Amino acid sequence: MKQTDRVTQSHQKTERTATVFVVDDDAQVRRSIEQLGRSVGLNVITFSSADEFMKNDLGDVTGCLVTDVRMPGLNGLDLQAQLNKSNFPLPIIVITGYAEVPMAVQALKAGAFDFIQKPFRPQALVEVIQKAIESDAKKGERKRELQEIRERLASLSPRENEVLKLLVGGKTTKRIASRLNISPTTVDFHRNNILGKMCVENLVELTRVVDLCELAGE
Amino acid sequence: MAAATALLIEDNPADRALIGHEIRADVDLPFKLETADSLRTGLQILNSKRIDVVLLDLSLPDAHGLDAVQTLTETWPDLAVVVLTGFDNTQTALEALKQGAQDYLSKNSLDGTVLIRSLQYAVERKRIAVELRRSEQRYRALVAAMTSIVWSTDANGKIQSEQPFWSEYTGQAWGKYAEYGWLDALHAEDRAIIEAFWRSGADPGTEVEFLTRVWHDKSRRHRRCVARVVPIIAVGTSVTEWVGTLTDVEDAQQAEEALRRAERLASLGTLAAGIAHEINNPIVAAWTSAEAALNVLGQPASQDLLAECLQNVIQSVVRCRDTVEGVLRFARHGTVEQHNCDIARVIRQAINEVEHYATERLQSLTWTSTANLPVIYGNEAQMQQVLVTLMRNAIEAGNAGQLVELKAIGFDDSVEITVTDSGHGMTATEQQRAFDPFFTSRKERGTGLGLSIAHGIMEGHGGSITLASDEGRGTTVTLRFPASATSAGTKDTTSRDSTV
Repeated sequence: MKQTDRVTQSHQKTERTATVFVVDDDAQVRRSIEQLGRSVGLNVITFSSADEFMKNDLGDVTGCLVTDVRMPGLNGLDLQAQLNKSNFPLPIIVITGYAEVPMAVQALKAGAFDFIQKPFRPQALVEVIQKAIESDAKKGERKRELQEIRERLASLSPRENEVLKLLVGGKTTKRIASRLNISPTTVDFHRNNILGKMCVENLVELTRVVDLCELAGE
Repeated sequence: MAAATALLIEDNPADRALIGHEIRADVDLPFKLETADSLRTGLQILNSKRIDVVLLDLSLPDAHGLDAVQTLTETWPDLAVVVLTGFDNTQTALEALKQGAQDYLSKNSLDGTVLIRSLQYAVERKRIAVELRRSEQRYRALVAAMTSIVWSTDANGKIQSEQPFWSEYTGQAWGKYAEYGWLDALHAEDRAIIEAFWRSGADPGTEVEFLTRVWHDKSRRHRRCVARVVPIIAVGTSVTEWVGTLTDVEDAQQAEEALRRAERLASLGTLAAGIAHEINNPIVAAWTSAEAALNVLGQPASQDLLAECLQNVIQSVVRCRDTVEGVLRFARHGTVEQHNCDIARVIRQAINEVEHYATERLQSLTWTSTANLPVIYGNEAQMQQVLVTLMRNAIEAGNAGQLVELKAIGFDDSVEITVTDSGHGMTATEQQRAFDPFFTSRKERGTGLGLSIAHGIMEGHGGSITLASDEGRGTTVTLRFPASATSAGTKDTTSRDSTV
């Protein structure tokens, strides 16, 4: 019964077309993780080395990366460092071996999503992969929201932009009118247009979305 | 030597003049003379310059006779003191000697010659006493620093005088260790051999050393000690006594044992960590694939995946078995069948086995051999295994286009085989651990057991395996197999075979 539950649950995850990238030099481990992923409906792509993984242009992907720490050539931590440099967007799960806790600590410090120690329960790996995928998806949603706000901001006219800045700066209609040397009615007109273009109901919401953009460094 | 300086402390001006005159009257005067009219002035002079002997009047106005002697001998322990008594009071004079004065003279019968001689003797006696005291101090310091117990016995090993150090260590009282009583302080198991040495008339020709357990009173148990005895041979050749030292080596031995234990544990730790590492991967793979199989069990669309999963489970389990077999092979050597072998054929077979591997990696494999390879008594399969291991290691250490070279050189009593590569070499640390089980310097995954097994096999053949490496320049491993003891008659056959 439990098994079936798990399968159904994970089938829902596939709707997001997330991909699990696996880097491990051990062919049997690689194969087994791929099989496990497929068995719960995850899309898994495997690589036998860090180099092989980095050769591939992944494009715009969602999901997560699972990498073994101990590998010939570039090891898992080296791979993580290289990916960090190139702003790799996916959460990274690091698999450490027997008595490699210091490596796990190092991986977490370098921003790994989580680590899992060999030999692990396969279900534990599935769980941590799913958490990583969820986290990545949430990050994706935020990104999309931000993108939408940016597009809406871009659609404002220069005058609307001026009014927007004063509005979120807490100025009243009267003050804005005198500052811009226009009538209060015109200010209200612009205000309604701005709320409409930005798809928000009121000033409070408007301030929130503008703040979001500023927090994201706009 | 500079003349000694005497100080006369005398309050009576007439006596001072008289004694001064007596001393100065001596033509061979070995003394310079200083004078003081009170103890106070005398002490000032003593503080300001070097004085060898004081001639002290016992009836000074500012001193109470013997107190003055005590003050002088305690403050200047190297100073000789001769006392002058105005009245012929022998009792007081003797007391003065007890206080440390060297001599006493009576003013009533003062004679220049006696006075000078007395001063001279006083200085000399004091010098000897001081030297003796220093030498004794040195000796005591030496004994204390040695942390050894010094003891002596008569010619037959009987203790005839008190041995305070022995007594302190063993807790035996004088009556208990006298004669052969000291043997009771030895551990029952060690006693016989030492007792035999003495009772059978100790051989005076040599220094003797025993490792024995001696009862240590403070810790209430026996501790391991090294006893060294040296005969003191007087006139002629007879031993008059034996002197010896007993050094407690329990701590040193325990430290050494702890070190050996730690080394053994470290080896075991390497082995265990190696096994864990080698087996964890296939365990992960088998478990994960089995879990995946369970996930898709009963789904008609996933039959292929199910089969793949089970395949992977089997492969992983087989890998675990191979590792375990490797460990067992490593743990068990010396139980294989051995007979006279043609080493040249063994080499050829090994070359055949790895040639393909070298070609695959674009490397060349060459081998040379002298014609006189002796017959080796051993196990062909094992010897071949060693050669294959070395050549595979050499190939894996090198890069495309490089050469791996095997050379076999025959000697009357052995064969030396070297395998040389010009690959990445090994660091000093790697070389030290090269024969440790599961240690590997290879970038590629290996079992890490190859050289450990090779080492075991070479030991099983009474041979040796050594490794020399230059980091970045390559490695040479040298094998040496002893020639078969019964090879003489078969030598011809051997060389004929090797040309086939």
